[in-house]
Amino acid sequence: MIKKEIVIRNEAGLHARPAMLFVSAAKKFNSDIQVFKGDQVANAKNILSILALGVIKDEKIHIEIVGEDEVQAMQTLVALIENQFVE
Amino acid sequence: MEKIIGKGTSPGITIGKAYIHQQREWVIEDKSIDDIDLEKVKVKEALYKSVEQLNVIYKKMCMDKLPEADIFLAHKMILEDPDFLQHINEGIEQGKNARWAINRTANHYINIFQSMESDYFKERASDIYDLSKRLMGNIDGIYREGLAHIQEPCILVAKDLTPSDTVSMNREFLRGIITEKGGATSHTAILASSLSIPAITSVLQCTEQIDHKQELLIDGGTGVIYVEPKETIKKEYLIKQKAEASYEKLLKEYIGCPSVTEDGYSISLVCNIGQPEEADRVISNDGEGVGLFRTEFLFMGQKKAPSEEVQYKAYKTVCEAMDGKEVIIRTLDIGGDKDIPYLKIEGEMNPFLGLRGIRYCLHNETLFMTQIRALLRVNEIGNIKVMIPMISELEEVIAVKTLINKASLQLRKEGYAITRPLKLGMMVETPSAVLLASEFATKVDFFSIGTNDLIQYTCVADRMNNHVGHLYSAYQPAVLRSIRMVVEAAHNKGISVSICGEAASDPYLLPLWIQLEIDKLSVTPSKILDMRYRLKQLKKEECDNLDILSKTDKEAVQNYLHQEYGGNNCEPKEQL
Repeated sequence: MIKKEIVIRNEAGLHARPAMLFVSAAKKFNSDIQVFKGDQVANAKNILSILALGVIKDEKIHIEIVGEDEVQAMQTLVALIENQFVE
Repeated sequence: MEKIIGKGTSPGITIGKAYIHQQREWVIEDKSIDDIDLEKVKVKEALYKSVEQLNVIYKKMCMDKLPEADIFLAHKMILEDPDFLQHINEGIEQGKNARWAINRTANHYINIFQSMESDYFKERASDIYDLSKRLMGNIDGIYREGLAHIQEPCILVAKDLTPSDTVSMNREFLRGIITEKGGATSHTAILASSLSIPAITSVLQCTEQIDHKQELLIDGGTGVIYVEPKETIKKEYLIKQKAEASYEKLLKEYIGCPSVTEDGYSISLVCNIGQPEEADRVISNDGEGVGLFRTEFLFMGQKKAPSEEVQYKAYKTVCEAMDGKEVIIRTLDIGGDKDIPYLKIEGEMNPFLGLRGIRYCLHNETLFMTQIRALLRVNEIGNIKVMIPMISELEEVIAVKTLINKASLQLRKEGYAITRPLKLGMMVETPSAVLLASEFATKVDFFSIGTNDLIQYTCVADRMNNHVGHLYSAYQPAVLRSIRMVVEAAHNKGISVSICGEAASDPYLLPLWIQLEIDKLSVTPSKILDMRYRLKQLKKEECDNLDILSKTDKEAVQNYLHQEYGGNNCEPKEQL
């Protein structure tokens, strides 16, 4: 299992476009990917649960990944967030 | 000819034929079904159809490079979300029909989004509504893309419009939009703005009041609709339309120009905002700063008071958007007509003379301290000043300063670096503040005259009361002389004065503000360029010679101002 805490920096937070990019990326991996905000948790492969987290700018989330491709998954998702979802 | 008045959400004038769009409301029957598996298959098929339709729409919008394409991608992803389908299936497993189950799931998610703090996320609720309608439409049939068949220019009239409704329409044919629902930030308003077409909302029963194919003349600026307009009205509006277009063009040339009179006297032109998002409009209209940042939005429409963090972020956002320009933040100013349920002010007999503004805050120290702490923290990283509303006693200012010191000490103990002094000003909007202006001027860093309340308390009249509304007037000599008193007291002690009520942007009073040497005028962002233009038409020399304040009744003041300056700087549109 890999865990990482990261802060969302883009303007409107984890809303439609970034959420979609995040979920699309997450779906490509086999591992189980969960996103925590405080005591709320979402499945990274489900757009509704990610949107329902309502993560806004400067909020901290923590990602937990369990599975065979957990390393690549974490790298990809972190890179996406750090680049502020610019493709 | 009939005249209907609504709320304009996107400006512009247009004449055209009405196209009435009736929304099909699904009748959700609580009918039970026997074959659960069959019902689940129906949902799955409807899902596939919906996703297919959305794919087509998305591709087309991408090709046309339309920004709302993303909305449809989001709809698609939501429909493909396994949790979504599972929730619907759970409804079906209760023995209910597909539409009932879809409706139940839609409501579940709509409630989740509607209860979120961020406005952005709240609006996602309408996305869920939109896609659930598409899904329901595809059960036992095909969802009809609402407006694709429109082949000629028209003014769309509907109770409400969803992105799915407008997406299929040929934009070329959309000349204006009239709806019953939807506010200034709704999808409809945004779409209309981006297409630069007029939109008017809050027109109750518009689809009943207006007939299909009736000729309409609509003015998105004033929210007025003429049904079957007379020739004379049409002519009038055509002239107005031309004048508005040339005027808009003229004003754009004032972007980046200083705010000065013809003989070089300058005044600061800044803006009033009520939401962090409005900071962008300040910048795009070339406002020189924010003269009034109302903080009530943080407290309204929520279930509980905003935390220090939430407040800190909001203030920080505005400072960053303003890129170093000054932002004057007003502390919580509720009471009177602003009702916030969870803050529990029991029904007062006289709310306008009651627990409002600073009185409320001093009465609720914990709440107030949270705001002060957030402001002290933002003061370290942004160019802000703070101002306190509804001041009537010197003790109030002293009490606020004591709390500021208390909060600074608290923050330092917790490890925050609080190094910069917090500039504190006050709103001058009560007669006692006016009469004690000289004393107040030694206690605060600046004054901001809130003309709306000042006029009310000086003329002792409620502008909404039909019997006495006419007594409420900015031209009342008592009000204008009060303002002069405040300015003199302030300038004697070397502090600045700004005006932030409606009177700040009254073109007829501009010469008086110049004469009195008001330092700053704070107006709504869309008026900045207009004010700058009007300022340029005036000469300080001439303003100084105006004899306004010797007049003793408001009619004399009004007539004098209209006659003296009616031609020069007012209604320039007619001169174009």
